[in-house]
Amino acid sequence: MTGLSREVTQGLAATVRLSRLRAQVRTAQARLRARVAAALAVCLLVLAAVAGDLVSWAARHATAGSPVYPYLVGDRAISVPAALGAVLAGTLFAPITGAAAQAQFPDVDLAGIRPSRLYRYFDGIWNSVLSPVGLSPLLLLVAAASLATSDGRGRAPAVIVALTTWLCAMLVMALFAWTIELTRRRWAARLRWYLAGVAGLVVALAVLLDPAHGRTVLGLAEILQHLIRGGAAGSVAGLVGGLAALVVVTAAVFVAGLLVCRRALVLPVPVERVRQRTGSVSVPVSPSWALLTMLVTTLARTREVRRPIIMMIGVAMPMLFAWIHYSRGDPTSMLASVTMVVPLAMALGWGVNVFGVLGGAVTLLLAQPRAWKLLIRHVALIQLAASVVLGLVLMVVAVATSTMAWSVLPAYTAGLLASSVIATGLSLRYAVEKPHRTRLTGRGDPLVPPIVGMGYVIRIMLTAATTGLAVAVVAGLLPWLAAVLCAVVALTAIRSWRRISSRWADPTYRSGVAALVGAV
Amino acid sequence: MRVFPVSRPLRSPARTVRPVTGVDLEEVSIRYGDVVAVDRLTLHVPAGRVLGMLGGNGAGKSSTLRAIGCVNAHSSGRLTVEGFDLATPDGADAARATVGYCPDIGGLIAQATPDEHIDLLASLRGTRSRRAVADELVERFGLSGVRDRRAGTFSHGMQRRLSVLLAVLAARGVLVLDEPFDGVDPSGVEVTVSAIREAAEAGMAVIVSTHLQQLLTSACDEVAVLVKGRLAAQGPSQEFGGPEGERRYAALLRSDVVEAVA
Repeated sequence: MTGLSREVTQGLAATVRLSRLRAQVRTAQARLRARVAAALAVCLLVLAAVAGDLVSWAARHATAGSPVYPYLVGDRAISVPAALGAVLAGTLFAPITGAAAQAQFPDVDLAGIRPSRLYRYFDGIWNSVLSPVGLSPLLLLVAAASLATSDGRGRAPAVIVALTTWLCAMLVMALFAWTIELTRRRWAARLRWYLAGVAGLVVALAVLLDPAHGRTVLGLAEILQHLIRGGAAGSVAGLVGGLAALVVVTAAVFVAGLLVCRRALVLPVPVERVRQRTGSVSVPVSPSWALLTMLVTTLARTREVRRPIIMMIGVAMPMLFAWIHYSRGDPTSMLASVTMVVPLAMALGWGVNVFGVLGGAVTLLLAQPRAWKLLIRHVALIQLAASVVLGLVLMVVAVATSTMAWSVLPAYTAGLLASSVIATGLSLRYAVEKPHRTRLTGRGDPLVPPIVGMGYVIRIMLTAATTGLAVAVVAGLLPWLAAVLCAVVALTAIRSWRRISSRWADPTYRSGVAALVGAV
Repeated sequence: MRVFPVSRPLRSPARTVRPVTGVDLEEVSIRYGDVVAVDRLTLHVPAGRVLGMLGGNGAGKSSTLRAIGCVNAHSSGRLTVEGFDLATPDGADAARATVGYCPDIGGLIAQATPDEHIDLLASLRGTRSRRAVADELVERFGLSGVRDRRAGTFSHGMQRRLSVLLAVLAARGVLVLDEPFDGVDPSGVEVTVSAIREAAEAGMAVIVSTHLQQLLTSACDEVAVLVKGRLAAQGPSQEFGGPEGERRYAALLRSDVVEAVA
């Protein structure tokens, strides 16, 4: 045990030192951006904590017939079970995509330093907390706790319960991630997919058999609600007891994760079975089609790009649909989630650092006649087309498998188009103006550093997703206003495209991008 | 089969200089912010000649070659490739069609196979009809057994071979090779040297950079030495060969103050 505690102390110290190192090597501008992102995250947290007061105020001014009423206090309002369900789904889902166990620096860069082995455990948790994977459940749980105490009574204890639940969820995620890593190193990489499949089947079966059809997250949400209600009713003993139990569970999960991580890291990293031989695709004769074909091929063959997009759109969204369906939630929320999630997934998985994904290929392409112009156009085209097509497919599936009328589809399609256009423009701007050198090894490396990714998620959600949702909602109520909104989106997109293409047209700037991303 | 077509000046409205083949640098400077990578460099590489570039790390060789390869922009001075002025967008695009450029690092699509690289470049340059030449080059560079393997899975030496092959295939008037021998085995070096000689014989201007002094002197007609972004010495390759040449080069690398060659 002494050995373990020494390892823990050394690992923790190494994570602190590496975090400081990372902060030191940032440019002044990057440091400023990180501080702005942190301030923004704190603001969002405060906003989530007072969400109950805001909704109470809005509900007092809204009538039952008002279109926003169901979103404030009706059946569409955010609830503790919905928030907990979403957080748990993310907690189990994120590690499968390769998130939750990422280190701040690649192992090869630390070969000369050799920090204590367990730094990876703390690094993974720290990275998760700083990334969208950690921030979004925190906001969701705090907002749900605040809404559950919208009259103000027991708000502070409710927020404390939410924070403890979030911490527990983060540690469950780390435990799950390291269990996957252990199976990969001890047995075979493929085993995690079988385990994930079995776990998915078990959850699906439990939801089917559950009398509440998953609406109470198999009873877990009731426990959480009971705790929050106890705090609001002034039952200090119940609240303290419940919190103590939650802390014990959290500590147990922390220790379990630590032990699993230690066990995994003792084992050597297995040699990745990289698919070396692959059939060459037929490259068209037309220069434009040839480049488009190779870009799509690169997207499809790069695991770090392909996997999160497939997991988000092909697995998470259908699971969300199934959950909404079986928990008898509002079916239009499926379409609303598509307008938000699909453009975001394409932006984060491809657009925000597309030149980093291409790496040395950017130099090759910039040396070819006319290719630099085609490159930026095709990158945008691929993102926009994929967002719209995949989103439409999901929407058709959602409508076909629910009680929704087909007439709701045009409004949400307009929303999807709007959010896709804005997300594409924004992510291209990031790709051109803030390229990141990335070393993609095929083991789920992030396209951008976690803190940068968090900033991107917040900004894309605040602009693209909210605009898309606004267009979709308004299109169903006031079509003329939706047309005005779409016109504004189109004008913004044209302006954004002009800005990006004029920056890309500067050969000095272009060469800077190529030199940065190509040096891997 | 002729690997290199006989180099002929292209007809294009973008050509601002009377048909002059080869590469011309007049007082060319390349700056990265406050850092001057290349300082008023003047060089001429005529068609049919091979210029070798020597210099220590950070001397400005790669920056110069990236500019000639139309990937980097030069900050000042006049740079023309096959008569096309690289300062204008049209001139740079026209020049790209004539230059085959192998960068010192990267320059490959990690997820694409050699065949896909060849087809993509041929499509972008409108030379799909040269497939037979490409096949011959693949054979010569020893890549025929890995045509369906992704470039990202290649060893460093194999990646260099593919990068040189692509530059050779793309070159129409100028061939620019930055560190082509880095990590390449003797048979790969031999093929690369023969490709350089064939390109010169076909009337191309060839520029090669390397740290392997003896190899450079045997493959090139002329050698230019860069120190701190400036031309420190230039002359026939024989002057830089043998022990005497090595001593001269070492002295140049040690020199703090460089007298630019007129």
